[in-house]
Amino acid sequence: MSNFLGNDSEPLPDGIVWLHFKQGDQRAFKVLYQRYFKILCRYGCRLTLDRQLLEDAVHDIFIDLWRRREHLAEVENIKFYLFRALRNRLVRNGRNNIFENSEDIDGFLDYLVSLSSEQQSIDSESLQARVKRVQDAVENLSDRQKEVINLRFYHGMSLDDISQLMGLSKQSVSNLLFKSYAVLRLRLKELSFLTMLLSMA
Amino acid sequence: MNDERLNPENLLNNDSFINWVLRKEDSFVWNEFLRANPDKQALIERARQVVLELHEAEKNLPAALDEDQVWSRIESSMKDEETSSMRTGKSRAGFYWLKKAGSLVAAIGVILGAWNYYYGQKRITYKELITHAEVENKLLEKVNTGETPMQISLGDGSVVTLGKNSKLSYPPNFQKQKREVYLSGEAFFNVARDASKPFYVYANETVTKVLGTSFEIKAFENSKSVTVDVRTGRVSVYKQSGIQSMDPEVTGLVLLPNQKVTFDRDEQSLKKNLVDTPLPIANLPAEYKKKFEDVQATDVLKEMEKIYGVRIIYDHELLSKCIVSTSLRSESLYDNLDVLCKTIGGTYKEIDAQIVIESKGCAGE
Repeated sequence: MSNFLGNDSEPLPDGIVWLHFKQGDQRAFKVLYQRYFKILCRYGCRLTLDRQLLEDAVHDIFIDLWRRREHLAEVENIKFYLFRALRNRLVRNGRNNIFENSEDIDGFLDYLVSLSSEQQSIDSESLQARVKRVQDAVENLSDRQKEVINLRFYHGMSLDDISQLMGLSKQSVSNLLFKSYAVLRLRLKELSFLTMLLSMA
Repeated sequence: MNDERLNPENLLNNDSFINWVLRKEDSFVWNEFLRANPDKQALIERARQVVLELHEAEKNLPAALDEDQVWSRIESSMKDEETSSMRTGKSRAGFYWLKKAGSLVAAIGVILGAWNYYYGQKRITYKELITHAEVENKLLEKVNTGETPMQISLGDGSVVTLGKNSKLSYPPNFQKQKREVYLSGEAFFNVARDASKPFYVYANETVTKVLGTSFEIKAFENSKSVTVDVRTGRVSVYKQSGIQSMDPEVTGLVLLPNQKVTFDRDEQSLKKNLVDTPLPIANLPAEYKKKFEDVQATDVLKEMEKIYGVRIIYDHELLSKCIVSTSLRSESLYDNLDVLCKTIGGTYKEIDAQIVIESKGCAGE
């Protein structure tokens, strides 16, 4: 049996691990878990703030995966498959209303009011501080905007995949991203964003 | 790359650009582009910065969950899964409902559904019942370790007589729509009538539902069966069936006074019989004695049916010819039947919680 963890050589491609897992190999299943747990959490935390809900959903999708392993098709893109499973599960397990929330502009407006008081120079900012500021800026986005920013810039997902995952047209995803940029642009006046976007306008 | 469309936001929405920045893919395309358009270098670099900053920002979100802890949970669910599929392969639809279950009854049903799923036909313990009931409601518990029966008055006026080595858990205040208690061991229930608030007794794998009545339940954890004996009123008893049937009562049995149900915990079956000592359903004085002189045997039988609430089946034509003089006392149905059968030369037996009288009749004068 191949070494799933790939200690001594290249790690096995997902496709091969997936095949072993489908044949009921628990080690392969664990490898999939180890490969995708963190990634899933990094997306999941944009879908719900409720840790218990997220844990339940992650648990449920892996158990579901294990239970239905024999009936699963070949999966080209495991990450996409798991993301969709997680999203669907969170919708089904309910309670968080992220998916019904429309774009929430109020939080952003509140933020704008407070913004004028903080005038910091970028040059003096460390990378860490910049990241923090970007984080704060992202926090002002609506839930769906956060989700789309997460998928796009953390997970590097294509517009096609995002549109399939979120159940939106590609155009809507694109618009959602543009709207997010607009918010971020205002939020990050002092950062590269502003300079860049204004200079281009 | 079309120059006219090259603004930072379009770059951010370009899949190839993102792939290049985050995964170092497509670098040939972008290096080539930069070489051909040195004036765009600053723009590209800034867009790249934005992607990286957003990536970092999202990466540094607080880690929500503990990887090992979630894995142990998954592993233990997998084990349960194997056990269960080896035993029965029951439906597990209930599992996800668990969190949503609104009412206590639904919660219990669903929880049991989940148990069935996990453990096959595992026996349900009192402790499990309590643990899950307490999610919704704080419960009081009375334990009778003494030798004498213990009287417990519930908030609704019902009185429970708890046998020895038995436990009863109940909420200090019942819910609006229903009264629910949990029993381990044996108890006699005298339930205050309240048609709008059914009274449920959960005992091992059975549920006994009543509106107002008196009955006795024996449900010891280590015993093979659960029995419910009905004194008065009407009771329905059913198996905890989880969520398979919308109304588990449909598969249960309705008990009338002097009937009892035995639930076989191994076979998961319910069987209805008469109680061992059927007593008059109305509170008759101990010295009660109803005399009959020269009446048809059928009249006596009709009276017995009335007093004990037990259906008696006999050949009416045949037995109406039997003229008897006898009396009914407030004792067990069987004592009275013995006397009557002797006089008409017949026998009786109990079938399906009914009495069937066999007699050749009294044709010969």
